[in-house]
Amino acid sequence: MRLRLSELRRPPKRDWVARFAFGAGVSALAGVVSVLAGPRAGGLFLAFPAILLASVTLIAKEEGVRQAVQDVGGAIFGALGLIGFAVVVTLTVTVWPLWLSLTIATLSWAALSLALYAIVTRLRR
Amino acid sequence: MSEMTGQIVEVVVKALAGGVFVLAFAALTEMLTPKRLAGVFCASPSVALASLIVTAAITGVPDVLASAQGMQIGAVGFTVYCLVAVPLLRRWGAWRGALAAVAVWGVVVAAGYALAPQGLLGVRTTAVPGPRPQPAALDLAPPPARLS
Repeated sequence: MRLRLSELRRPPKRDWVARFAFGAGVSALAGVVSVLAGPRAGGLFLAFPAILLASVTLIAKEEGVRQAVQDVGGAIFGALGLIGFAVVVTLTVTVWPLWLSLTIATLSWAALSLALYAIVTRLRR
Repeated sequence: MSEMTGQIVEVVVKALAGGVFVLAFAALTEMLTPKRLAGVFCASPSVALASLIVTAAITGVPDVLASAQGMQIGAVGFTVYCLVAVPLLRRWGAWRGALAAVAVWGVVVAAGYALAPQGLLGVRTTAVPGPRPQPAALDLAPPPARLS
């Protein structure tokens, strides 16, 4: 696994704008629900698949439904990691400082998602 | 600042923070190789991180705990969404398949919220304990001397 800075120039500007708009839209939705129905109901929308929905429809248009299906297949592992993220925050946020709780939760998401992805990919071979 | 103005500011700040965090994770996904990992990052906690940080700053840690409990149910719905979206996309194409899967997310989340409102762990929302009360003043005066 490697990071290449040059790849950031590849997507057109409108793709970045669309991503920002989707992120802002989902966060606003979660915020409005939280204000109207309480933080627990708002929390449901912190794992709303809007970004994936946008990504899938864009990829299906540009690269075909088959590639979109592959991305959704990968997102299963990310979603399982999100359950881990939420559980870690629930267990630690009243005990640890916020920054530590969120950092460990994010690392747990990454470790869980990538480990499950690696295990399933290896089993399929 | 009135309560309603405060709530509008909270939603706007959450929206801006959510957009920035989604961009940050999108940039990470673009830079990452191999590209087949992109799907995993479509389910990153970008919106959650932004929203929880703003929630902690504006309304406090107890609301972060309640939000995380709700998120547990939302994330179970997200997993079911992904599982049903694969066959639905193949059968109905991108738009109809993805929207039908969102409906499934809604049903799972509504059922989960009705059955387990405290989240998967059943942890009750409790107030964060405040600092321990200190004695009003330390009595440093020496004890009275006994005369007998």
